[in-house]
Amino acid sequence: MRIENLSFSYKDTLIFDNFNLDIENQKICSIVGASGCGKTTLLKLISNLEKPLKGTIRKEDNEKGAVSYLFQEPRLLRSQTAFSNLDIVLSASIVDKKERKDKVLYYLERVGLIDHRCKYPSELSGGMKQRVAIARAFAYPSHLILMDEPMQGLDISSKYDVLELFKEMWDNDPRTTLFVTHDLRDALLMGNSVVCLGNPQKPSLIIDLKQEKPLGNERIGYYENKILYTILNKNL
Amino acid sequence: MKKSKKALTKISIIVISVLSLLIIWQMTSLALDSQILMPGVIDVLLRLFELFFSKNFIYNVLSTVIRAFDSFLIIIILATIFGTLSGKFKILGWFMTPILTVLKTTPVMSVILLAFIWFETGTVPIFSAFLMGFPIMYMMMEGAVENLEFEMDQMCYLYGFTNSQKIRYYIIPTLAKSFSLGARQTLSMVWKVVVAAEVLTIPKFGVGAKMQFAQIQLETAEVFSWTLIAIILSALGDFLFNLIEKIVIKISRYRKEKKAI
Repeated sequence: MRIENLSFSYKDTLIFDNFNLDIENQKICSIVGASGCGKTTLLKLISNLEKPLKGTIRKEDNEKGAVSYLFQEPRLLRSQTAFSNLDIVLSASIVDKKERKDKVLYYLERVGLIDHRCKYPSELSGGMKQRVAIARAFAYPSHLILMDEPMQGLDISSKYDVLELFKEMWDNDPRTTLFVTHDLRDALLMGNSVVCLGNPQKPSLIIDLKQEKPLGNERIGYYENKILYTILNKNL
Repeated sequence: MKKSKKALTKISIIVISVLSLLIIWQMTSLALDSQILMPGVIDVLLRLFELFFSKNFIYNVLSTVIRAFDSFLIIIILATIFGTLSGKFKILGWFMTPILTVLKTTPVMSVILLAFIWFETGTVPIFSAFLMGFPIMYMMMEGAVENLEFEMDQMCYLYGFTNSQKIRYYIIPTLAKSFSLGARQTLSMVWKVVVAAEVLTIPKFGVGAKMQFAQIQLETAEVFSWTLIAIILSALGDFLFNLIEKIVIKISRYRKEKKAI
């Protein structure tokens, strides 16, 4: 995916000004940066929730069309069971009920919620709800996954469970993914690359991690410091 | 087990509360020692029993029930439509604001007296209850639509919901809670206003009209009995509403769960 000359402002604040960025196909790109630097805005521009003032977002053939979005909160339909939350989003692409049901059950099985399929969101824990959201994201026939800090409200153990689950599902079905997070460690562990935002005209820092995976603690520490320095330097 | 214990405690406390009220009532009656000022519990119950078998009892009760039901139905339909539209379209909301302010602040008696000038006696309770109940349901629906989450709209858009799917799976279930709460409050208001309007306008049949007749004849026990009937009708309405709501929820849950099995 190529972001070209993107400009966007929010209430007189210029967030992007002729901004350019290349995002590698079928890889996870982590996006970090200080609050208000445009991380979520970038996801909204890519998913058409916001319209740019100018510029284009060129997607590869296998990135066009529907987008799976993982929000900060799971955003499940409260009146529907875990099963129906997936079933509804699949109804347009899979007309045959039996086939659709099999697919929903497959994904609920993958996220370990097959026994909870009749439960409503209010009957599930935060981690379980986010698992349903992950199942929905992967079950939905999209080519692009956008994640906007989906682990934010979770406790440490649920957070790593959900991250691990996401990685496992992603390895099985890789799609171009943008992962916005405040947690530098998560960004480094999950991403094939890390992009640090802060400058409206260009990324403040791009780290390519493809050759270094899996990252050891020492390298994680090194990159954390590097990103932190970039973010703080920008803010000084 | 824990749940049934809690339910038992709740019922016990309600029974104690009712018994306390009856005891206070009976003691006051004994202290005043006057059938006109305060008849005793037994006297009222005996009068109530007599009323059940009196001529035209069913007509009186049914007339009030039909008036309340008519008014309730009109409010539910119109207030839901206008409230929902006002929540969605600000212009309509602004247009409705002064009308709502007038309706909310006008005393019930003024509405009844004015309606008495304009309409025949049987229509006055329906009209008055409509004017008094409409703002409750309207505001509940308007607020519910205004509070629909923008974030869920985004989710529906991104996951390709059609308009009908969005309405069916997100909007209607979200509004249903406010609808149910508003309808419950409206129903309670409708009973009170219908009976009050019947008291003032004295239609041929009606609980309120009978209350007024009894009061003129200083039949305090009968006034109490008709009041009890009005309370029972209101409670019955509430009970039926709860029952229908529970059945609808159960059927809906059953269908959803059946789909997943």
